[in-house]
Amino acid sequence: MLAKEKQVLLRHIDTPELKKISVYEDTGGYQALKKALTMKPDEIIEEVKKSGLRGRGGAGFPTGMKWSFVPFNSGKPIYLLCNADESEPGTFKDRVIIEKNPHNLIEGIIISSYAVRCNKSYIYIRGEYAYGARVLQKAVEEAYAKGYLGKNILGSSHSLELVVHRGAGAYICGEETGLISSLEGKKGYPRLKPPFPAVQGFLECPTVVNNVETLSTIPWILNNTGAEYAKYGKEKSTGTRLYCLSGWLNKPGTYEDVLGMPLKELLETHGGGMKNGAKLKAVIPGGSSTPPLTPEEVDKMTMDYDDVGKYGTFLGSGGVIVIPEHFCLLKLLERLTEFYWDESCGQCTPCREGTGWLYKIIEGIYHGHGKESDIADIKKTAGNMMGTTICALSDAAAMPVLGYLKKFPHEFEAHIKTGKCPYGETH
Amino acid sequence: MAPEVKSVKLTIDGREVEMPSNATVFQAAQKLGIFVPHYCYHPDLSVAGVCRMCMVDIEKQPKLAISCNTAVAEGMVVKTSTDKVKDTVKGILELHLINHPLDCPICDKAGECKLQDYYTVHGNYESRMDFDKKNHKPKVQDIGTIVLDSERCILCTRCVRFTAEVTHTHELGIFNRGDRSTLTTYDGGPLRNNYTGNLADICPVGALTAKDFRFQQRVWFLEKRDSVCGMCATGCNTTVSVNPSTNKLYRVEPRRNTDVNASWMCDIGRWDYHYVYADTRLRTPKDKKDGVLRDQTWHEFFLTFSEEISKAPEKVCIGLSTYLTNEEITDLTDTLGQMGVKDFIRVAEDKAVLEKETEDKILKRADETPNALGLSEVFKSQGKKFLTVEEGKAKLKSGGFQWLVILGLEGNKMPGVAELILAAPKETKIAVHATNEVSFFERCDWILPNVSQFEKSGSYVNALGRLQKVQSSIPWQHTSRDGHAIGLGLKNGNDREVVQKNYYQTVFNKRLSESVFPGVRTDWRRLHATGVNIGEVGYREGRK
Repeated sequence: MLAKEKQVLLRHIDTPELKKISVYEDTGGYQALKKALTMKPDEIIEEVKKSGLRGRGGAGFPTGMKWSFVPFNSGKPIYLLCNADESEPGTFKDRVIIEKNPHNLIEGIIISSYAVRCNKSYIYIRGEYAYGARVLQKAVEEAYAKGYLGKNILGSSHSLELVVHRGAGAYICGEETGLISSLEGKKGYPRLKPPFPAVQGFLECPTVVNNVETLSTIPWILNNTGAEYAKYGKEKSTGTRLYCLSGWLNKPGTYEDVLGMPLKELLETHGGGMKNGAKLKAVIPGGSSTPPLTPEEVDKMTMDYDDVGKYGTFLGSGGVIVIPEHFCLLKLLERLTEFYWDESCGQCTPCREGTGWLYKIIEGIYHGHGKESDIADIKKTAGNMMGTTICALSDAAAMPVLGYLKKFPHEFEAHIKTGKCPYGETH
Repeated sequence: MAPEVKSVKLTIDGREVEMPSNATVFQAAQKLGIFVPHYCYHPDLSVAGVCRMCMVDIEKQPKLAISCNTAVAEGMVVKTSTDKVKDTVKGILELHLINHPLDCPICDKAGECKLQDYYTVHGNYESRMDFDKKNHKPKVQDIGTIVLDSERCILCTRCVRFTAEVTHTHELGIFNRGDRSTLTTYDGGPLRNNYTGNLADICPVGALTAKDFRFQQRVWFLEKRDSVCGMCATGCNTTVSVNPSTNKLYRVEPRRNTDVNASWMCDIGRWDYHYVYADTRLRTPKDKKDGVLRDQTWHEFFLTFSEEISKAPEKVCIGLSTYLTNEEITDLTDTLGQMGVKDFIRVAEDKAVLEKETEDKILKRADETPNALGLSEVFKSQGKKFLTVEEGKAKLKSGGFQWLVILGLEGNKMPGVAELILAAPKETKIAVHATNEVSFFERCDWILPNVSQFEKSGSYVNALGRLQKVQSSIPWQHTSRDGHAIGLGLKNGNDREVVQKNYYQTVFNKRLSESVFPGVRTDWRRLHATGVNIGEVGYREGRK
C-alpha cells in the first residue's frame, strides 16, 4: 500500500478547499509550471518519455511517444484536448480530480500544451458531470486571473486559451476521434484512421488527446523528474494510478496505488475485503468492457499492463468491479449489453447490429427464454464484432460477453437448462 | 505539405500491381479486376469506411483491414479471398441483413440490389435470427422525386455524402444512434436539388427509389445501352435502359466518365425523356392546305422541296438546330450547299452557347442543346459561315426569303425557334422538323416529325470540346426521319440509303474523322465510349 505522502495524484486531496487556487498554491501548486517554462518543450517531452507514463484513459499508449508524433512544423495550429468524458461504467477517477483538485489538471494541461506547442486547449467534460464542469470553469477563471492562462503565461512567450466544453451525454464521445467530431459540433462519430489525430484531428489540425489522469500526472513528473516517477511500479508499467473500487466491498472508492500491485492486495487493503464476508465470484479489472477474472485469477494477478494480458483482460480505465457469489452474472451482462447497444453510434454495421443482437440473446437467456443454440450464436456474433469496426466500442461490447462465456459458462447453461434465473432474480 | 506521390508495387492475390502511393488497396484491386464487395465506398465520394464489407487480409497485420481506407505500400501483400476474409465478410453481411425487411418481391431494387447480390455469393441461407425481429422504421416516405424507405436503408451514408459533397444541399442525414439510426431529410421536407435521381443510383439497396421508375419495370427485363445525354451542352455519359421485347425506354442513368460527369447527371437529363412518348409527339409529316394542317407523306415533302430549292436556292434559309449530330449537320450542309443554299442559321440560344461555366457549378449548362460546338466545328472545316439567331432574325426581317426550314428540333424547349418564326415576315413560308408539336407551329406550312436523341446515332461535341457517341436505344418512332434522311431525300428524292445499316458511321469515317476532327483520326468503332477531346490534347488512346 502506497503511503499518502508518496502519492502522486491524491496526496493533497483531503486538504479542505483544495479546488481554490490559493489553497492549491499553498500545497506547492503551479511550481511545476514555473519550472517547465524555463525548460525547452522537447526537454519536457523527453522527461515524460523517461517517466514511462502511459495513457490512463484505457488504451495505455505511452504519453511521451504520443506527443512526439505531432508534426510541429506543419504551419497549422496544434490542439491539446483533455478527455474528461469519463463514461466507462465502473470508472470515477477523473471525477475526483476534477471536482476536488481541478488546478492540478489545469497545471498539467498548461505544461503539456507548452510541450506540444499548443495555444488552444479544450477540456471535453461529460455532460453528466455538471458539478465538475462548474468547478472546472471556476478554476479556469481563477487561473486566468492569476496569469497562469491567457497571453504570455508568467511573462514567458507561451500563451494558452483553455475552454471547458460540456458534452451532451454519449459514451462514444469519450473515444478520441468521436470526441473530436463532437467538439467540432458534429455528431459524435469516431473517425477512420489514418489520418491519425496527431496529424489531422480537431479542425483538421494536429491534435493531442489525453486523459484527465494522464495530464494531472505531468506536474508531479516535472517537480520530481521522470526518473523518479519511473521508480514506482514495474518496468513497463511505471508510476501510480487511480483504482476505482466498486461492487461488493467494504470500502468502495477511488484509491491511488502503484501499477503492478497484486489485485488481491488492492481489494484487501484499499477495498477492505468483501462486504459481509461474502465469497468472491468475479472481478472486472478495468471498466465494464474488460473481460472478468475468476477468483483463482484474482489471487494470482498483478495490476500491470503485461500481466493482465495473460488472463485475457486489460487494465482499461481502472474501474475494478467486484462481484460476489450470490449475484447473477447474466443480470450484470444483460445490463452491460444493453448499455453498449444503447451507446453504439451506429456508424459501422457490425457494432450497430451486433450490439443489439447480443443484447437480445443475453436478455433472452437471463429471462429464461434461452436455447442451446444461443451459446454458439453469441460466440459467432461477438466474433464478427471483434476488430471489424472503426473504433473499439464494438470490441468493448463483444469482449466481456465472450469473457463471461469463457470463464463462467455454467451460469449461462444453468439459465438455459432451467429456463429461469438460478439466483431467483425476478424481473 | 502533401507527401510526395511515388509509384509503389504491391501484390494482391499473387498478382503484382503498380499504383501511385496515395492510392488505396481497394483501387489497386479494382485495377487488377479483383472484385471486393462494398456498400459505402463510391469512387466519386469521400471514404466513409462504415459498411466494413471490403475487408482484406494484409500480410504482417494482425487484423483484417478495410481496403477502401488502407493506403498501398511498397511490397504489401494482400489477400482478398482467404477463409478468414470470407468468414468475416459473411458475418458482416449477416449483420447487414438482420434488420433488413424481407420485401424483395415488392422492392423495386430487386435484381440490382447489392444485398441480394452478395447474399447469393455468401449464402447465409439459414437465418440465426429468430427474435421477434427488427427495428421498425418509417417506410414509404415521399421526399420529392424520390421515395425513401428508411427500414430498407443499410446506413452506408452514400446519399448523405452525395448531398453534402456534390450538391452541397445537405438535405439528408442520419438521425438517432445505434441500431435506431434512421435516414431522413432534415426537416422531413423534400429534396431540393436538381440531382436527386443520382440518389436512387448510388443507393445500394432499395431505400431510395426514383418515383419515375418505381414499379415501371423489373430490372432484369431491361437491357442497358451506352449513350450520351443531349439535354444540355455538358453531354453526360449515360446508359439507357430499354425493354428489348417492347423496345420501350424506361430509364436513363449516368455512366461514369471522370472527364465529363463523374458518376452523376442532372434530373432534367434523366427524366426529360418523357417527350419521346408524349401525346404531342409528331406522328406524320403535315402540310398546310387552305390554312389547315393535313397529314402528308415524306415522299411528297422530298419532291416538293427538291423542286422549291432547285428553283431558287438563294431564297431558302435553313435553320440547323444544335440538337443535330455532327454527321447530320455534315450531311445537310453538304447536300444543301451543293443545291445552292447559302444561308444557314444556328438555331440555339446565342447567349447560352457562349457560357463557359456550368449554371450550378455542378453539371447543368445554360445551353440546353448538346452540339453547338460540333456545329461550329463542322462549319469551320467546310469554310462556311452560319448566322446566329440574332443575325438570322435581322436577315429574315429584311425579307426576300420564300422558305425558312428549321431542321432537327427536339423536345419541348426548342431554344431560339419561336424568335425566328416570329421574325419571319408573312410572305416567308416555314417548315419545321421537330419531335413534338408546340403551339407556335400553327404558323408553319410544313411540319416534319424528327427522331429523338434516343432514336438516333451519331456524335456530339460537348461544351468542353469532347467528341462523344450518341447511340440509338429505341427504333425511330412513328414515321419520324433524322437529318440524314432529309439530306438524302432532298438529294435523291428518297431516303432509302439511310436504311442502310450504320449510314452515320460511313459519314463519320469518310467525312468527319479526317477533315472535321483531324486530331482525332479514328473510325467510329475505335472511338471510345467515354469520348475524346478534339482540342490540342488530341486523341490519346488511339493511333496518332
